[in-house]
Amino acid sequence: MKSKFVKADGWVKVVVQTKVYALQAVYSAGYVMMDKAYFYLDMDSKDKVAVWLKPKGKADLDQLAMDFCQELLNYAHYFASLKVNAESMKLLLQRALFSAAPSLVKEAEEKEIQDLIKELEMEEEKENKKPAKKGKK
Amino acid sequence: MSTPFIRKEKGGFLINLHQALYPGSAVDAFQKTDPHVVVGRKGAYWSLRFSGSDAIRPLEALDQLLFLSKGHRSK
Repeated sequence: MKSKFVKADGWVKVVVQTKVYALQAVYSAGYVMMDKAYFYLDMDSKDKVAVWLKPKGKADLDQLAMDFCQELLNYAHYFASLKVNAESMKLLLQRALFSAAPSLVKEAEEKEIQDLIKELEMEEEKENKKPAKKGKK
Repeated sequence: MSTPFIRKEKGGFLINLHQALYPGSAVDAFQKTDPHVVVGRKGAYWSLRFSGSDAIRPLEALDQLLFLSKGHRSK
């Protein structure tokens, strides 16, 4: 079976659709494979990034390209999961921190009260600065 | 060694990097590590000129630029 990847001068090209894989996934996949290959990124067209890989040492170009695709999928999944779980992780961390130091809860509540008081004071000042309306005769 | 994007020129090598993929902050940070690299602009691309005959230097620059671009993009 013929290879689907374009090759030139010891480099192999993988074209990535940015609508399918975020650029951050491309960077991460490239970064994790930096010990195996050099990476060059270029815009193939408006929504496509051309990732050129050159092996550092002896390696099969097709295999290198396939490995990169695997890493790309891995990081795409990772970032998608991160997004979905972000709120849950935040809650878990907050609970863990507050359970380790209960005084933090009290501090946070006191700070919230102080912020509310400041807000009310500022609103009161604004109201006082408004010129008084003249009464009708 | 000359490829479509790493060109051998008289006295060195030239790489063109797309500005959408390699942020300016990353290129600036890279230039601080290698002040001998001459950075210019050519349309939507940065052009990086490396002097000397060491073909590995532009390749190693790609490693650094990938790392820096990854970091600067995630900020």
